[in-house]
Amino acid sequence: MLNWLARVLQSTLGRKTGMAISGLLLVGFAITHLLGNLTLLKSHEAFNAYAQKLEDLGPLLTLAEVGLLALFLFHIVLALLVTMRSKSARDVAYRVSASTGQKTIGSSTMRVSGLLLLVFLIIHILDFRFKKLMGYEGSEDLAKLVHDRITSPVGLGIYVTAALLLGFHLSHGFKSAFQTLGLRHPKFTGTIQCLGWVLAIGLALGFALIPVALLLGAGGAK
Amino acid sequence: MQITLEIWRQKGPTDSGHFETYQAKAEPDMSFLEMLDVLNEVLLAQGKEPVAFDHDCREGICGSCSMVINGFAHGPEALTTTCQLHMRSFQDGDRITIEPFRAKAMPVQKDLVVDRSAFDRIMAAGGYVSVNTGAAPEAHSVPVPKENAEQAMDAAACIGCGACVAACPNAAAMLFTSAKISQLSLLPQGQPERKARALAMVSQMDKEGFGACTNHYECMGACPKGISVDNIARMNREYLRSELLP
Repeated sequence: MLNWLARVLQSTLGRKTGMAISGLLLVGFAITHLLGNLTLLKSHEAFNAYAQKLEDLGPLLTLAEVGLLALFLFHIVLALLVTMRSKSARDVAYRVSASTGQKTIGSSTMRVSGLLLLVFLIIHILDFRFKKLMGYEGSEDLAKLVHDRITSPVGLGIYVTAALLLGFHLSHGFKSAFQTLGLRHPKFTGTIQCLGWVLAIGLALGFALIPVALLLGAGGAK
Repeated sequence: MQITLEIWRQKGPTDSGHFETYQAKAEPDMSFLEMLDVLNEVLLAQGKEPVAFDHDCREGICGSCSMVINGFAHGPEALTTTCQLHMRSFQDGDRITIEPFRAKAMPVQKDLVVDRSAFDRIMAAGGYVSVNTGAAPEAHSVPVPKENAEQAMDAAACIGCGACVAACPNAAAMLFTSAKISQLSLLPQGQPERKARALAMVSQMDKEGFGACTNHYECMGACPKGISVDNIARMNREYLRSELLP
């Protein structure tokens, strides 16, 4: 079993499959994360109650968090390995490069958007989860902490930019994952591409509009 | 037509290489290779080394004429090999940059000539049917669905020119390898060795040092034979099937 896994993860197709599966699972996480965040638009109490429900899961929450961290690391490490391979595969660059019109802004910026999302992820965890775990002052009222952070000028910039980057990443990533898993057929490939766009735009706007809505007074802002 | 050419010149595999500029005269009805032939005659008359480039059939089926023209593998026209590209696709006074295919797995031998034997080794790893099936049976005894026959023929149209590798931002060879895996996996004759073939050819592709596909589909845009990325999805399925259900 371990030998098999090692062999599959040595192969470019195995690594790409791993990226596709972990990527799709992370999309699932992003959707649940957005749905949870929407409670902030209702009231601070609703958000804190939601957060408390998650805390009450106890060891299950820890397990979920470790699993999520592993999923992110798996996706990122495989992306780095695949990128390094491709960089070394073209050792001399073209003087003139042109596109046949197939690649998109989303597909050409996957590595940049991925790296920037990683930077955001670190900031995001330090902003909230780390403060909560370490019991920083003010972290008992998570809703206020989040509200203040994402509506401050710097916070707003970081969180809205990250949401848009996620949209770009998914505009290529979602449909690309299905292609990598071999799930391509005239019957459903069009639907998958549409769904990819709906998710990319939906998640980007969803995450980006929460701080904007808060600034406009949603959720009983001060 | 008066054309300015910027051509990659490299004396041999270990030479570092550089671009050189040439003035060439051409007629709109000349093929791109004929334009280079005329340039080479001029260079020979001047006692200079002619530009080395691969060519053979000059009718778009051998896949030899590998070069990147103004950033496009086989030039700017769709579904066209360099030998079938004509100077009427360019304007009088144009400046045209000609480079070899760039991939570590396809090293430059001289000027525009690259070593594409990596493709041969991928084929040698499993791109054939070796089971002994006896004498040819009566044709109707092995029915092949029309859909499969069409898809296998589409995949078999691959001429192994390497434009997919040249055009791929990752220098991946997945369109080539997938076309060769597809053509046999769709037909009854390919079934007995189907799983071993997929694993062996993918493994050889990796060993050669090609990059990893990120689904830009530039390969499909550059392919002179219109090979579809449907084949890459099929190769991924074949690979997963072979690894998960050996």
